[in-house]
Amino acid sequence: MKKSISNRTFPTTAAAACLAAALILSTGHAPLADTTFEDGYKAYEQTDFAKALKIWLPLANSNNAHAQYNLGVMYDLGRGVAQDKKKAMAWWLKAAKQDLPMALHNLASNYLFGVKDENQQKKALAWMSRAAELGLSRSQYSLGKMYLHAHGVEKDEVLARKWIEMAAKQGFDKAQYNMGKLSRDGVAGPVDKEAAAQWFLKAAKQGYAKAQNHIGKRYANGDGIEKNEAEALFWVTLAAKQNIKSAENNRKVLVKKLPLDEVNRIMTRVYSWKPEKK
Amino acid sequence: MEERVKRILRFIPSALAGFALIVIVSSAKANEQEAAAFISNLANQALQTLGDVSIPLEAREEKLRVLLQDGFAMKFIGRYVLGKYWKKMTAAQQEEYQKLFAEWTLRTYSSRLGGYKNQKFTVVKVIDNGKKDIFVKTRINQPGGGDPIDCDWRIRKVNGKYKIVDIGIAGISMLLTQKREFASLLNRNGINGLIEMLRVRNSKFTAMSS
Repeated sequence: MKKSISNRTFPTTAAAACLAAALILSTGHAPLADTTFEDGYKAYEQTDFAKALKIWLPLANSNNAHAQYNLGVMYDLGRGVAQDKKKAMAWWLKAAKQDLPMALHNLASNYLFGVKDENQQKKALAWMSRAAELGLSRSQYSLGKMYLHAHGVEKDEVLARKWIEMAAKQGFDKAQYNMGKLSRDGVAGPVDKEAAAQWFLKAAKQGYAKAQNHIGKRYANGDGIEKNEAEALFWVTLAAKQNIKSAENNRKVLVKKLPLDEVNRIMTRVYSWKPEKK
Repeated sequence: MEERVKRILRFIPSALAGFALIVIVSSAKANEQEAAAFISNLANQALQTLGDVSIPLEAREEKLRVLLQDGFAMKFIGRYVLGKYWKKMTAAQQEEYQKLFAEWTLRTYSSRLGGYKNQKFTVVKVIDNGKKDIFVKTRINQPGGGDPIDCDWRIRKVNGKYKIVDIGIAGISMLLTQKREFASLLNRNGINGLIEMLRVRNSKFTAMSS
């Protein structure tokens, strides 16, 4: 009886052992027992990339999209492995096939503009479009800019505005700044100075330097927003602190116009100011 | 007496030459030490910033990029890799490009200064051949015996401060590689295309938690 059990179980055990050995040999890393995806992330955060790799690799091999995506990041940046863009793309492609938005975005980002092959460009556009459809604001913004400037696609201002607005409404600062410009210039919609000012203000509050300079100028001139030189100085000073050259010039003009105690009060506000969290 | 004076006079030029050589050698030695210290200091900043696990890794890396920026002659590098296209840009395009290029360069190369867990950063060799630039060769030994990461930092004194002007990976200059890649892209997609490419590449996501 014992013998027959032994005979029946051996092939299964041997197969499992062979499979495990093959996995170890093929990867060069023994999988860690009793570990989860999150353990891998903790190790990654602590920059223990070797441990993260050991945890994520078996998961990625068993088609876990998040682990596949993270391995792509590790190969792309050369973390815990020798940098290898092709392997990065291969892992991202596996995750992208499972509709993982960040994998689609990164995959597209590596291909867009970087390749001459038109078919590859089309694929990159399809990946970015899919990530945008899945609601990723960075992808929506990137796609909008591509349509706006006819990069890899035919120029389409309506689609450009649609995608940029979607990203802006999700709170993406660069998209909000661009909505400010589209509203100001009446691109695929009416010229709307009030809306432009509000979009610039939203991005400025998040710390986006160019938007801070824009809203500062609008406050100074009462352009789409009630004139307020103190607010103008506040915003252009924040922009100047981030090395926007024209903001520094705007600041000098406003400092001369305002009383000293007002300027000092604004400076105190500037130094205690913190951007809103996205 | 006359013969003694002649002997002394004959000795002076070679003594002066020897003295000058000592000055040059010791000055080169001092420059090499300063250059090594400059790169080691950047590596220490990486170690300290990345080692602070109280904040997320992405935020630590962003903080490091801000700290390292001053160590690079970024405006010079940015202009150089654009070649003739720099003058064709508007002032706004130049400002936007420089900002994106700096971020992209730091995203791409700052890991060559190490600072991640159990990495060991060493300055292997410093070469000052008496010309404008000094080359600092560095190596990062990886935990677990992975391949070492080698890098050559080409540094130059700009307004009395050392700055990185080029990075060599496996003997290949980053400046020249980028100049070629950018020229090809500028031909295909123009200046706005290059700016967009940098923007998109900087927008890549890092590792996800779940």
